[in-house]
Amino acid sequence: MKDLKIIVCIKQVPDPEGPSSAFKVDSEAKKVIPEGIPPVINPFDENALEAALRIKDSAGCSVVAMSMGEKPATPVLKKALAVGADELFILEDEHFKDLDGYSTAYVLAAAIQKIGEYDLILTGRQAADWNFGLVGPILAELLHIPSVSVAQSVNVGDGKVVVKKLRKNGYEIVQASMPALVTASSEIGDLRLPSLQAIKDARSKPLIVWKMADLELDPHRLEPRKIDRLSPPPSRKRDCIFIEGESLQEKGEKLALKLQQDKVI
Amino acid sequence: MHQEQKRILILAEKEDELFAPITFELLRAGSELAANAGMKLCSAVLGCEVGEISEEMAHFSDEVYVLDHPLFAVFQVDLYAHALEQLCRSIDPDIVLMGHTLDNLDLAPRLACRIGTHLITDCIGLDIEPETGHLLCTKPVYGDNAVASFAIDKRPRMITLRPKVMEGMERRTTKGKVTHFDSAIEESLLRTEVLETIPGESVSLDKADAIVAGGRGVKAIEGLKHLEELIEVLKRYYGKVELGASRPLIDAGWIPSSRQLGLTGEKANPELYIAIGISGASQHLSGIVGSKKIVAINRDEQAAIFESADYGVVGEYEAVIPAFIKKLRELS
Repeated sequence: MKDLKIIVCIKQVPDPEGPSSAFKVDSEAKKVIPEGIPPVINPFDENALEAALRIKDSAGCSVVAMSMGEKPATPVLKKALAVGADELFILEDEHFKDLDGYSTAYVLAAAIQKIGEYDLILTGRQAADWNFGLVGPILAELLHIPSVSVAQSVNVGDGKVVVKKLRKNGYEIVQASMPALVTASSEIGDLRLPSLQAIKDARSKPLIVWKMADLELDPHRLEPRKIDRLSPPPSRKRDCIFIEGESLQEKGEKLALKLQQDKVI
Repeated sequence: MHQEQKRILILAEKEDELFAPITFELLRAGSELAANAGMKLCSAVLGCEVGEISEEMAHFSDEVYVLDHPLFAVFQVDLYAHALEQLCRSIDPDIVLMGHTLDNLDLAPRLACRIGTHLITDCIGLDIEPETGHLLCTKPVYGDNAVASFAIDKRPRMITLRPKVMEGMERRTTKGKVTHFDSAIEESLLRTEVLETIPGESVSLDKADAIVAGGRGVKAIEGLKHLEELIEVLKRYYGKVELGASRPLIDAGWIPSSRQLGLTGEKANPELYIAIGISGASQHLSGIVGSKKIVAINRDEQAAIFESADYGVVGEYEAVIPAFIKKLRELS
């Protein structure tokens, strides 16, 4: 039997776990400049990659990681190979600078069509930088395949993908014929850590770079993200009254008294 | 020359056979834009046997489009996207407003793609620029560490609105026009099948008067009993008191996703929010910043949460909370 092929779309972002002070807002240039925090794979894309690797563990399949950008940081993306992806495709071109979600999905769709056969595409539910959440569903539209969003778990079998999909209260088990696209939520769990041996092995895994000229793309459909204004977030600062006391018990009691005094309770 | 008045279309969302709070927030946002730009406020109600609630919706909009079909009984993106595409092609709205809710994470981008327009998701502000007539859509970016505004140069302008950034719209005594719209859906459009629906407990953090929430600092699942006890005693003071959490406790599987507060979880504006062992990352704060009073209990005096709290206690929650509870009992 032919092996299943899963394509996982990943994006690098400044580490969203970084403190607020690490995100400098340049309103003039309309850019957020991360200071002192490293680029990482978008956490939801890591969840998507983990979902793909679990399918690989249980059912056996090949996992292809794919990323697009003007100058993607290859060492960051190579983590995908170290944790178990079989191939890494990097779509890299000066024309891919700061593309909006529609154009990003368009480029990814062209690359996926060039790869040809695939069974499942996994993406994160949204990226930690611009937070639009467009690429997954639009990619599915462009490829004319079904999609299921905010997955808590993903399983495959009999040409179908079965997804535990998050709903407002509870969840739903949804099935779709493959090829299909699924967007991953954090409930899937963290991406595994690579072993030292796996990091070494990753060096011999295929890393394929495609430029704009390698893909069938209409340059007029590549639009950069148009930002009208960018500003720091509204202040959330409140004047905190610290409850002091000799012991933690005393602090607990004083907290209740203070809340009563201020008519909060 | 006579021009037909342009339309703002909002997608009504239901919850337990009634309209969800986000529906009235969308209507408020829509009615403000409509008044500003001289447009008609229209709403779409999708569902199975929604005739009656659509009549009620007429008290909130100038036009109500009713898309009533047995296949709309549960949300399925292929059907909803198809139906709304037909409606948009028919009534040609200038602005389409939807809630930034779980279902719409999939529906809104697909609809935008099909009708050939652009969508700005998770907006917290919508303003018409007087000089240009541009609709500026403002959304938090970089985990709520910056705020960006975008104008959409295609039509219709599509937006999803973050819950809880607006008050709900007031009911009008007048009634708008109700139109039944046949969206010509059929089962063959479906590419996914819902095998099973597993309802979790019904939680509405957005309606809570007080919330006690735990974060990474709760450390052990046993620690949740302190939070639950605190919730019990707070019920003497507040009507609806709920348990909430930041992402680590959700991902650990200790607390169901429906109780997550933050950027990718629920948004709530309770009278009282008590954050226990929550560090105060901007992604979490974005779900609770509208709380009237915030109390933080954390062992780390440097925790960012204290900068956004009204009251702070530095110390181990396991020792602070029992004494806090005891005093609350005495005072009630």
